[in-house]
Amino acid sequence: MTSHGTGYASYVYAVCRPFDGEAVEGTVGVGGRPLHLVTEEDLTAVVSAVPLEEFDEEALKSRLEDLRLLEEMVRAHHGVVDTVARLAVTVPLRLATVYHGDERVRGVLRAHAETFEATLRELTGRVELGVKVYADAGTRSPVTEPSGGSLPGESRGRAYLRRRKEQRELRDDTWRRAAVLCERTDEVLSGLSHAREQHPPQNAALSEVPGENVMNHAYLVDQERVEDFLAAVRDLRSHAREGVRIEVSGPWVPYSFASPRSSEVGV
Amino acid sequence: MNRLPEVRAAAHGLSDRGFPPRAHSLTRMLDEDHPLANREISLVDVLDRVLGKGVVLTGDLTVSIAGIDLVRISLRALVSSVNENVPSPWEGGHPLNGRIRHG
Repeated sequence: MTSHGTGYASYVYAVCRPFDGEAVEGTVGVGGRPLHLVTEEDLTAVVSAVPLEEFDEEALKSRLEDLRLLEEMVRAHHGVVDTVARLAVTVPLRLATVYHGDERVRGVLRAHAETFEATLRELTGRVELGVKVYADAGTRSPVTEPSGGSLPGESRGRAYLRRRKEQRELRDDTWRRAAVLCERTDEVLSGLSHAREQHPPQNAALSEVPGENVMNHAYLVDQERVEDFLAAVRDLRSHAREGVRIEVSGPWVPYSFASPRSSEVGV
Repeated sequence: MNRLPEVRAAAHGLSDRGFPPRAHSLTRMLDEDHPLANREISLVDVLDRVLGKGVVLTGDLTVSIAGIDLVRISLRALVSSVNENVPSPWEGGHPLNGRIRHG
């Protein structure tokens, strides 16, 4: 477990409170590699020994540029984090955090013990919920019917300009509705949360869902308030006007709240 | 509903590669009839978190592509694989910037 040949490196998924390693026997991580635990005092790193040549800069770069390999790695990483979080309070690490062996991992646990302690305390008993708001003018009924044809006595040019104006107004109005829903949603949900983080809006080509993602937030919520939070989302949804919608995901391991606010944990 | 990851996962046999059983997933810890139960976890949502968040430690092997570069590389790859003409979602800015309050 502790000594690897020179050809192996230690891939770290997460840092958590020590737990019984038997619980993750049979669970595998990136590249189908088994897991082992590296414990230092009251902190445990969840680790896979991975072939060095697959994780040097060049190999990693080409792996991340291949969608199939990227998805495989991302889902494997997430799978381990998700499994471990059921067993102990967990601080998830960014994808592809790799060290030269378990002794280095031990050193990192020692060097950042205080930060990890603080984060573990903050995350205890809490989960992350993702909330997204979409604006989709295309799903709204046209204001004036028939928008395709001309009105009596209207020239083709005028009809075209009128339709363009209608479309623009529909779009502007949808944006206004979305802005109102975003404000209201964030106000209500922040009141039910311990913390909130913003993710960049998702690209529609990637998410393959209709409409434009205009809000992509993560909320850190106490376990016992999750039901209240979801009820609030349902309420917001039932009041959402045509052309805008709200979606919720999770509960997630609190990835979005694993880093100390606006600063990195660097060696 | 996002079908992309589902389709890809099936196509690539990802479930055979040791992902934890679904019933064990924290994301699926809710009851069957819960509104959030049994929903496929979208790849984009996972990417937001696994690449975009999580503690950033300086590893021994990935120093020069750590942090934001790593995110950009992957998302560029993702976007171009879906549609060559789609700009990166990280470069376009927020569509509602200036209209709603942030922070």
